[in-house]
Amino acid sequence: MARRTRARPGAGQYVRKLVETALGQDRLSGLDEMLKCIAQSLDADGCILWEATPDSGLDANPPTASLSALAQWFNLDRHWTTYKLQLSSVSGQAVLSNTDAKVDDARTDPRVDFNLPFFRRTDVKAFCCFPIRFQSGIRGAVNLYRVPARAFGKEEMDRGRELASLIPSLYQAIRDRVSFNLLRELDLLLQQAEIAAAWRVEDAETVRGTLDGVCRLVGDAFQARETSLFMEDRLSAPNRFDLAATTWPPFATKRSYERGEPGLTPWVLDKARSVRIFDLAYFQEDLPSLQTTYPGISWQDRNNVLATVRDHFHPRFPDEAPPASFMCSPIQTGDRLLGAIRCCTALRSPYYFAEREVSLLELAAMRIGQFWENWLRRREAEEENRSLRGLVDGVSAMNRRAQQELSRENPDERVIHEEASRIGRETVPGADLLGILVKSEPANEFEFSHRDGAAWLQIDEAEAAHLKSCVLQVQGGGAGWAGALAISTPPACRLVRHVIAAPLSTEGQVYGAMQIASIGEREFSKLALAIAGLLAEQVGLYHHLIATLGRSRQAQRELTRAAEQQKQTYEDLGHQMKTPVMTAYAKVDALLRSPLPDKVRAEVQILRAILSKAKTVSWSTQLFAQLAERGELEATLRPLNQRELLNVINTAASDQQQRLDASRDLVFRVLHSGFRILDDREVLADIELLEHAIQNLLDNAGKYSAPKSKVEIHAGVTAGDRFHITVRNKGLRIRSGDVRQCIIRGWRGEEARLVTGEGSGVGLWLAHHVMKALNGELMIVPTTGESITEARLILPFRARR
Amino acid sequence: MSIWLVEDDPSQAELILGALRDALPKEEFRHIKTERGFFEALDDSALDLPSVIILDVMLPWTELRLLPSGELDRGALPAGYDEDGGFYRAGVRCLEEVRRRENTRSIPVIWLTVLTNGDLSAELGRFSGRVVYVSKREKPEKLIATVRGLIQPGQPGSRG
Repeated sequence: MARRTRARPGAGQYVRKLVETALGQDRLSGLDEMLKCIAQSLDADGCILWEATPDSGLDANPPTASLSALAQWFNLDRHWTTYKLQLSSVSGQAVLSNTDAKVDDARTDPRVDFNLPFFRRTDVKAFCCFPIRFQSGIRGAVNLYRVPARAFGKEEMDRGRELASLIPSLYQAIRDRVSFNLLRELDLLLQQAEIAAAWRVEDAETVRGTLDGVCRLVGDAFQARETSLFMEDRLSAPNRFDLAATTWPPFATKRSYERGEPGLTPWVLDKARSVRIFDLAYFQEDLPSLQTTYPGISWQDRNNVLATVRDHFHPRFPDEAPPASFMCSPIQTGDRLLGAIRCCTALRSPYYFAEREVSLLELAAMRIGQFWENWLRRREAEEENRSLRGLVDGVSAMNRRAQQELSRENPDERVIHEEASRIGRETVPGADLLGILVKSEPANEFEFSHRDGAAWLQIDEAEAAHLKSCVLQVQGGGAGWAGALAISTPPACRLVRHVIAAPLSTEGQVYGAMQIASIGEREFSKLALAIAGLLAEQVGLYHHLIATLGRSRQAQRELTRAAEQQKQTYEDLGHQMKTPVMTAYAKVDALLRSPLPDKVRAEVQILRAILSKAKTVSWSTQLFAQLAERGELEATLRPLNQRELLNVINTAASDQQQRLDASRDLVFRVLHSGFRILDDREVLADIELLEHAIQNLLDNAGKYSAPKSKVEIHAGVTAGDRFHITVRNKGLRIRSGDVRQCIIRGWRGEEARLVTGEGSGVGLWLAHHVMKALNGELMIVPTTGESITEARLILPFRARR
Repeated sequence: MSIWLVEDDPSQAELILGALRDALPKEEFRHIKTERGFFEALDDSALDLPSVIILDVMLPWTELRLLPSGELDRGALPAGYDEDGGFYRAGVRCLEEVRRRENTRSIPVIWLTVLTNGDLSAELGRFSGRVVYVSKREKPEKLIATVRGLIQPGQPGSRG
């Protein structure tokens, strides 16, 4: 059986152990563990990974550089910590010459100044140095230290060299892992926030929480003492970059930046370029190089950084503080700058930020930028939705108010101006000052009709006047121009930042302007322009409506006045005519009842016929007046008997016959038989009105009957058991399509116009109103194939009492 | 030789003709009632042309005559009749026709109308010197004097 012995681990084992250790690290400070592994492999008390500082010139002549500790491990305590190494040192020279170096006893080695604080503090006596080259090309070294003066043997040197040579690639592996983890976790965090937004649980607090998480993740990855995010919220404070999240106590951090301010972060915001400073405390050593790399940074405010750093970090040894490293990257989406993220001072190794860290920070910044831009866009979309909803509701409310106002006798346009301003204020984000300007009469100058917004109290009259003058630029838009303009703010304006104006116009003339202005930094969106344009058009429309309505009402008033006067004239005329005409008619009628020679009788009959026509005209005049005033006629109903009715009809027919042109040979005939029904039953009517209706029907029959034809007047009972008096004639047709129209005032059939100039289309209209007043109706029976037309006056029946 | 009276209102025609017949017992009179009747008379070669035409301005187109179908016999209604003013411009169309025809161009025409010369100012301007205006509001003597002045021997209007 083979005896097991504890063998010394071979070189391969040390390598494997180092690689395994490296693979177990997921933080950059895992470097320390790798150094520990190497130190233990060589039985050393400490190990430091040095790197030439970023601005060193090792290849220059003479070379200028110093080495800075990237990471370190000691088996004792922090008294060992050291951060800087001069090029003149043994290790510096080894790096410069790229050859290993070793010191067996520092106390006696002439190359070593044993009085240096490092040796005094640590009591290190032996050390060795293995130059390496990082994957970025920067040179550095792995140093191993022993407190006892026990020299590193050849085998140890070989092992140390082999292990040191692995450091660059293993460190790169850790960095890759850290990068991957950071970006993955960042993506996860931002993705969760986006999902929350999609479920509409996002609000400003959630976003702030997400950004806090982002800061923590980035800060952890870079092990930075301070990680801060400054973002521009262009929807509420454009051009200002406010502190959105920080891992540093917020009270100790500047709250916001603007472009152009002195300092590193404003420079990044201004130039949209990353900045990296190796050590803010000792930046002056690198100033020439920094000024070339980052031209334009104001360094004046950096003078007290060293004191500040010492105050903050309280290094145990004042001359052995870690570098106050700084990096800051712009956050962008496309070409649009959204903010900046910065990291200050590494808490653990690696003790400063190199270019590789800046690249990772830029990648993180890109993701943050996408998230922020998405959030802004969502808010913009929500804001637009709110604006549009507000606009729809607002315009609807304005329409209702306008309708109320329009229904008033004297609508006040300022009510509409007030409504339009209110809608503007509620739907246009950042609308601080709203105003409606209209041209005043008769001065013909533009004056504010309405002003809205508390900001008017902040600006003085001079600024208001400047604002007014610039708003009036819309006058130049020309006729028919609509929409709104974004107007450059006059330099004289002290507070007002942005102005939009839209013309108020009617019938192609600009009579005013709607103006929306803000005192904030945020510019008005395209939607705001569209809203202003729409509101201005709406106001213009109402202006037009009010003006049209005003003219229409004025015309109506004039018409009413004219109608009133006309009615009065009709009444006066009718009244004046009625008495003499009626008296003359009565006298002539009486004369005809007395014995007269035939020739005289014939003349007197003609005279009565003419007076009958005059009587009808006089009556019509009075009925016009009644209809104009009341829209209906007043009737005094009483029962009529057969004799009375026939007397009226016979006289009317006779008068009509007398008036006719004898050459037409037209005969009027009254058929009495149908009237006998009135022996048993009676109709209620106003005999004067009924006579008027009958005369109008007979007059029509006289005008429109064919020569040598008969006009028959007969009576009877309708199918609906009502009484009718019918005038039947043969002549011009009334077509079924014309039946409804022929009772409209002023309507004359086309053929009627061709055959006579007489008639103004009021006869049937008046007869229709007369029959309505008598509770009856006028019925026109369309002309039959034999050209027979019937006009019926229909009256309700009742049993005789 | 005769005098034509173109007048649609029978009672007015009776009054006018009565006054003219009393004042000019040797003259013959022809009463025409419509625009269409006037054009037919101008076309009727059996009729002598008048020495004077007394023309109402507002005239219906035709008399009420029914065709066997029962429809109104419209005759050849002038194109655009309604657009042109129909009834209200009938007397103007009649005058235009008289002045258009070679054989009637020199017949004196009197517009006897209730329209005022202000109402007819445009037409009177157009036919200046070729029509005499007499208002129906004037006493009959004015018309009689005018007709008498126009039918003196040697005045235009004779068909020969």
